[in-house]
Amino acid sequence: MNEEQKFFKLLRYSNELKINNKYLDNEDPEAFDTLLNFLVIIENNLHYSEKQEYIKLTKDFLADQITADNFSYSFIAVYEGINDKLHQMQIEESLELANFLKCRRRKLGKLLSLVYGSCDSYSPDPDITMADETELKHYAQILLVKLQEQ
Amino acid sequence: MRLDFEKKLAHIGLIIRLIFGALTPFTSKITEQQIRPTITQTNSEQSLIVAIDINESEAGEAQSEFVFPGSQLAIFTPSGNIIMNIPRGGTWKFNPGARGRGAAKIESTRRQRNFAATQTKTKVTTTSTQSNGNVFVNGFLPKPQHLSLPNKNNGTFGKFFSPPTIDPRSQPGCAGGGPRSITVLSNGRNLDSSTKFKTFDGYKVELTDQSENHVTGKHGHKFGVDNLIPMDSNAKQTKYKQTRTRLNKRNKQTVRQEIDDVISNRSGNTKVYNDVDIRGTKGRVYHDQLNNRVVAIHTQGKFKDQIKKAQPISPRHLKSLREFNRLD
Repeated sequence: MNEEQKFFKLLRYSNELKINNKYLDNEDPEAFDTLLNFLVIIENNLHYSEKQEYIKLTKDFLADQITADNFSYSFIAVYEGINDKLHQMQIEESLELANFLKCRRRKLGKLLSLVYGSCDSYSPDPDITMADETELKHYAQILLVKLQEQ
Repeated sequence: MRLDFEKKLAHIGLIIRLIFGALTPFTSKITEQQIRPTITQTNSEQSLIVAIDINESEAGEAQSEFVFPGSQLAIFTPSGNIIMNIPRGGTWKFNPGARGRGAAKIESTRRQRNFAATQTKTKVTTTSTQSNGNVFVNGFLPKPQHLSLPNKNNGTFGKFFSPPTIDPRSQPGCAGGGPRSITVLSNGRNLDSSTKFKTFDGYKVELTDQSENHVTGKHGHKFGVDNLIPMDSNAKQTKYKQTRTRLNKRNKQTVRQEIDDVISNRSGNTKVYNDVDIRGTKGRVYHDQLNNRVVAIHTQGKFKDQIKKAQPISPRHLKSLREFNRLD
């Protein structure tokens, strides 16, 4: 059984459990870890496939064409939008998922996750914010360099 | 001519005598001793003629000691000589007290209406706030600086209170659904308020109003709300549109309820991660496995025991949480 077949088998099993209001992590944690590793690879590649969206967004922010608040909302929209697409493909057990199982792109995934965390923590309200504009710009610069070099 | 003049003079004298003489029988039963204790002089000058209502006390109760039929009011000189009684019989209430208070009440109502009108209308009316010239009114009129503020719930004199209308659809047995009018009382939530929760594993946590606004605005669409505000004109158009949830009571309540469902483990699919590094701060993370979302609570620092994150979780985030006990 190759990687692709293994992935779809686990995905099918996970979906069947969910129908019965069960979760693979509780039933078979090891199998869940394997499935999760596949999903992380797919997720990273899906984000990379939309790199032009991220590049455009970070450029606008670094050129002060949009505010930090708008950048945070827009970044979250792209990041969550791609993950919603992944989730839908999981439910449908889409064969297209196999196209995103090749390259790992771990560093990009890690960086995008950090930027998402900062965007989520950013607020214009100084009383509750846990990330400031400087932090967002710092991450935006790193992300832009990383996306342009790949 | 002189005879005619004397006759006319006699007639006038007779008329005057008839007029003033008719009043004397009403005073026949009153003695000076009976009246003296009730005399209340409003002016220290002895020449002033004072009038008192000897039938009513301040509380409006009859004082039988001074009641005498047919006469309620005596007008007398400072020396105690009664010069006039004003007849009052049956239910006819002719006395300056009752009449004055009644007139004052009407006048006061009129003034308060005018005052309220000037407060609520942009066009100021020119109604005078002066009295209507009634001498009895002036004594009982409230001074402008003492006028009670108009209040739509307090009635004209602040004695009446109209309770809030109860929404019939909120009553048992009535079908709900659809938009509901809710009476908001003055003790509603404010900026400093917070909602207390108890997690299913026994921790007491809170969600401040500010944090509630934050998580609702950013992730309300992932917590049961489908009510987005139009995209900011300052934002650039992208393939993936911003999802900024409208902040209102209903949306916030929905998000609050969804958060409560997650940390209370109502679906039975919540998994807890303790001692998690949440962007450099220790905390607990409640993972709603069925809906791919998490609620994160700080357990140290400035926001200790506060819900600081309520967001969807990606496979990348979940892997990090499971393997490294970390949430970015």
